[in-house]
Amino acid sequence: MKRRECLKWMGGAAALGWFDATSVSNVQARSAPLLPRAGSADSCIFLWLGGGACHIDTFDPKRVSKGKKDPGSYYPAVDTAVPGVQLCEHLSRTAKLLDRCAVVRTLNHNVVDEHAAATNRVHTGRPPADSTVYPSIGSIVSHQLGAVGDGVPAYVVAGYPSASRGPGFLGAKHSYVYLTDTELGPAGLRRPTGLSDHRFDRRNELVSKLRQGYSEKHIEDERIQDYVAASDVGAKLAGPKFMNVFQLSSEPDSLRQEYGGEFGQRCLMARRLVESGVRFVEVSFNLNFINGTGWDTHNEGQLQQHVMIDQLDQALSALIRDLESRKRLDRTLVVVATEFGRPPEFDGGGGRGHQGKAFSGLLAGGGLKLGQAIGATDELGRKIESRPVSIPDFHATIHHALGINPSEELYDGDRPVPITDRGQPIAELFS
Amino acid sequence: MPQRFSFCAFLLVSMSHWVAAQEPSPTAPIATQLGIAASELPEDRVVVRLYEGLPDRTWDFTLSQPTLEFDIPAMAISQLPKKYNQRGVIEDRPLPVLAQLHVKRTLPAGKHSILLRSKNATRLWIDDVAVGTQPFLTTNGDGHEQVPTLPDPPSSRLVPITQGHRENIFQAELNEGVHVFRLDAMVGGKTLRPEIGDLCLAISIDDSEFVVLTPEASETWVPTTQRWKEFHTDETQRMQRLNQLLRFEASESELQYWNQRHTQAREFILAKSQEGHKESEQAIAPNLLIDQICTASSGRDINSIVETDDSSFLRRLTLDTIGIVPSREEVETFTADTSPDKREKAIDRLLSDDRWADHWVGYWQDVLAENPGIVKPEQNNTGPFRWWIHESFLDNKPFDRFATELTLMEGSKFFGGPGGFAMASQNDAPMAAKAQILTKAFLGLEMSCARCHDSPNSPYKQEELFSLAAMLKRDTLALPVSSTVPLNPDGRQPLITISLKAGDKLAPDWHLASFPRVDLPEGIVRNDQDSRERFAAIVTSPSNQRFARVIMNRLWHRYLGWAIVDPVDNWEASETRDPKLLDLLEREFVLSGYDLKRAAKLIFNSQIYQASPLSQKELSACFNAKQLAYGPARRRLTAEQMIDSLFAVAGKPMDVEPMSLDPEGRRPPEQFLHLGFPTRAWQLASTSTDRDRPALMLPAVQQVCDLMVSLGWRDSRPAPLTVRDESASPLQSLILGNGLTATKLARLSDDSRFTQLARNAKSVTSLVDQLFLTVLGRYPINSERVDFTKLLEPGFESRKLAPNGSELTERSYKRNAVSWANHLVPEATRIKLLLEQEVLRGDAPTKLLETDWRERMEDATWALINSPEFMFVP
Repeated sequence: MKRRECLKWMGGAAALGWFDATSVSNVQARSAPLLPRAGSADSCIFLWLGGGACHIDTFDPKRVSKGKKDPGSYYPAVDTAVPGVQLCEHLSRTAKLLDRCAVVRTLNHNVVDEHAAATNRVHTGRPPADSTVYPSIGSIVSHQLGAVGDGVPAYVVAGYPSASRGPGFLGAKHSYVYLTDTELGPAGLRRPTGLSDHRFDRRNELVSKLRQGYSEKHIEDERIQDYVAASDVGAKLAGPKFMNVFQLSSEPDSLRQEYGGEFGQRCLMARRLVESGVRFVEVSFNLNFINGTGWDTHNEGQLQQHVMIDQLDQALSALIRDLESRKRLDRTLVVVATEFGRPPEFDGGGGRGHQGKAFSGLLAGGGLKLGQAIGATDELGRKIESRPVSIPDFHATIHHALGINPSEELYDGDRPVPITDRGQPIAELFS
Repeated sequence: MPQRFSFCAFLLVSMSHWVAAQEPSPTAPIATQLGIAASELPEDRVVVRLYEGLPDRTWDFTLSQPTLEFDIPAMAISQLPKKYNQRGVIEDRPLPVLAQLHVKRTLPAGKHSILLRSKNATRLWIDDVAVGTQPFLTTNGDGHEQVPTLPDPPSSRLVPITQGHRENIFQAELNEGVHVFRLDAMVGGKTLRPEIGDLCLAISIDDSEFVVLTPEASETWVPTTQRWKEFHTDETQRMQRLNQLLRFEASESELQYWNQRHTQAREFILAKSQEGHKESEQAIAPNLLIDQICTASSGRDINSIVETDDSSFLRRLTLDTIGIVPSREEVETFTADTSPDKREKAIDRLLSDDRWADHWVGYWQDVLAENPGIVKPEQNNTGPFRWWIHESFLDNKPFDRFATELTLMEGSKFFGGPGGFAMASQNDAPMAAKAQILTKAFLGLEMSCARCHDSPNSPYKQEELFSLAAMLKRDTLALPVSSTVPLNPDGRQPLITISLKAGDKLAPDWHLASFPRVDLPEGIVRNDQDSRERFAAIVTSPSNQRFARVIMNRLWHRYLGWAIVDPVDNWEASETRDPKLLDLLEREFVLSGYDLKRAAKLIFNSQIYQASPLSQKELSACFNAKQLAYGPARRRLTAEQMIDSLFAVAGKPMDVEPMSLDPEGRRPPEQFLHLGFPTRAWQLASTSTDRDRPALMLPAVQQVCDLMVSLGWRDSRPAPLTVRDESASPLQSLILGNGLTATKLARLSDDSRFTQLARNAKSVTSLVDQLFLTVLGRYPINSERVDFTKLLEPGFESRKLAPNGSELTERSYKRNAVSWANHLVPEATRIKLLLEQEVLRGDAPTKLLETDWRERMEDATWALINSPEFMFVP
């Protein structure tokens, strides 16, 4: 990166992209959206239920199973704020707020029964290519819109680094900053464990002298100047403005308790991140110590699934209420997504297998037309009955809500690649 | 029949830590058909015999001749020698393999304890009598097993066993005298990878400490953590030498073929250059000719070239040859040397260093899209043919042979041979991908668009690419639907041209309309019916000048930071700056028999290479005028150079988790690979599983990979790449400073080189000098000396807490029992989360230095490592 770009990145209006100031033209050149933009979202919180959350045990409840041999939902359903739309009883808090949400019950794809491939499909919206690597939705949004605010990255992942979350052909500039623990802050940005202020300052004083000396000796050398300039930007990024976002302790105890366990705390952090100007936050629900398998509830993983659903419910409802009370719900699109659903039948160990041909997701806030369930599956949630929503459509909906034209072309070298693979925003959410 | 020694009695008390199913006891007839008599066993070596392709999961078989016999110093082994085909490339041994270890040893009379550690099934014999056995490894795929408890070793000094291993203690009451120990170990299976693990037999004589059982004439040793690490290092070197011998032996006839080819190639290039070159030019040493051509091209006087200083030269050269910065001692020796030819000598010394091979692997991993996944293959995963690349450069294999072996894709698919290149998982036309990679790597052709259509940006048509793919497939190839482009639904005219449709059949054929025709000299193709061999021959034939020129341009680009033909991997879209230099390099390369080291030596000995780096502005001025530049470009260290240099400087081992998610070795290689125990950056791979399961994380590997990724390394390489994105990013200095440097490299633990420096220094001034020499390869300037002395002077005299240093603790293995077989139980997640915290806490600081002073020394070290000077090639 050129020093000029770094400074601009830190500077102000052009705080775009993850260290990239070149996408201004993209924003300006964007052609008119296909649909009127009812959405008013400027940022997105993408909650990821890795492992394949069972739709009929969460957002698309069906007849309750009478036992291991009887296909059906594992829990009874409850009514919601939206007449005629029910959720599983462990989502009772979210049920009361369902008028702020839209349940999408007909997500589907044809990916083989495999986590990595399905995760990749739901993150990139495309089957993998033989000759290129497609970017994740987070990287695309980062590329298109950059960060909302100054001095913060555009794209943050609370979860493990993974190929599916990556920038693909968009390049490292549009990758994420990740963290695996809310208390610690992002890898690379957090101060080393146990390093005192005194030592921190002493180190920086020493290194800045060395940096200055080297920089002055190579004043004509652009590569060295670029590196030194980028390091200065980095030092500011690791400074209090952004790193304070991870100080959840500055929130009232009552609010923290409202959000609940570790996943809830990550959601609270996500709210703080979007408030600080981060454009896209992916929050992973990978608290596998609860049941071992996470949402991939084969065998005995099923037994404690309700604990996870309950934590999801607590966190999601708290996030919606909190955003609403801070007048940010309309500006923030909350997405709940997973790589596939699960069949109504049970496996030998009392858990469930995988099902990609029909599963659920959820959208909340973002200024969409909410309080509805999109699409319907059959009696036991095996097949789609009406209004299928493809992954490209789901992506197009998110992009459209954020003001991104889902058919605009990105460039992989000189090869044009539309943002979504012919995805159409869900029209019902934008009328 | 070997002579048997009598024995007294055995007490078969198994003190197994691993509750194992009872195996049927081995039958006597099998025992007697195998052993080696004491009289035939050497005094100082353990004899190992390998038998291949045995029946799976049974001891019920009859052995014939071993396929290999070799010897090792002690009853401890963790690597088997590789097997090579007649071309000298790694191939798979039919599995399972039986490794039989034999040793003789005189022991006092008494009741002795025998400690046996192994991964897969073993049987132990003393004097041909069965003493004990361990069961066969079971496969597991569901991930729901309980996490096993790894036992503590029988004495706290011993290295503990790692996951997937079993440990048993047997009691044996023996007569005084010579005894023959035989250990049978099964390695791999029909669905198991051939990993021998840490196989070890140790003995405790009359309740004394366990020592590894060694032959008669060798000293015994206690398998402590430190000693076991040294054993691994030593074994790696021994195996490297043995493997080299084995592949030379296996490929003798192949060598003759290549010698002939190189004679032919020399004749060809000599005949050709007599047409073009002037006599006078040929009389000048080629390195001087490089200087002449470059300076003439840029209109400069050769005397105007500014030679870089000695310490900068040594650092640049060491990075370019072995991929790490020079040691303090090397800098001191080199700068003190007054002989006029010291640069030439340094070049020769470094070119003969084996680490030359390490430094090349990362480059070809990128260019050849080497992309092994450690868990269930994803898009365009290949086998780990990194090991074949490494061996090729260890052998300084002629480059035409390298390209040919890769193209033929023979040998092991999952365990390191070029057979792994044939693989492109989830790709329905893998050979199209391979044709694209090969032509890009070796001929500078850009054919990626042609995968799906004819492109306005490239002269190469889809039909041409798929005909090449058919050559590699050795068969007609039908165009898959996924390699076509759907027409625009709105009826818009596409910019691209679609000339083939799905299902069209392409026959093997080399016809590239935009590429010069290649006439193959007589005798190059050994089997004319083999289209894959023809492909290799066309690429590497001396009559195909493009090959040698592309490789020389790559070499030049790697060492100078700018290319003669740019971009290096897309010649049709490139500009050639001055053809004379390329002519020269091509000629020298072919004359040397495609010897990369010889070519590198020429470049390193040129004044152009040894000149001060030029700024971007100076370079652009030359290139805009279509001239060659008169010095190297400024280069940043590659991700691999950074990592390897950092660990070398700190004197610490990389010490990350084994590169596998199935370290127990209980899953088939089609789904899980084990890429070994990384000691150099090229041995790492992506930790991404796209499963977001904490139990699958490798936190120590991740910390290294995070830094590498920020520096432009690709953790997955689904497509080829030559020039990485090495632009500056704010994350680089952050990840360097807050990650690895903070937890490991600048942490003064007992095993840190900086702790040694700090303890041994005679004065603050000499300590500061040594610190600068170690990290930056130069002496400090005055102001730096003042600053660092001021920091380290207070308390310097009283810094040492334990004067003898005898309290040094050994670095302990961060072992844990999580493996794929158990990763889906809650305990596995808990273990990995704790491990992550441990990695973030970093190495334990030494207690041998006073705390406040140590912290200042750490901060000084941290600052030097994080100085931008460390990042750049001087």
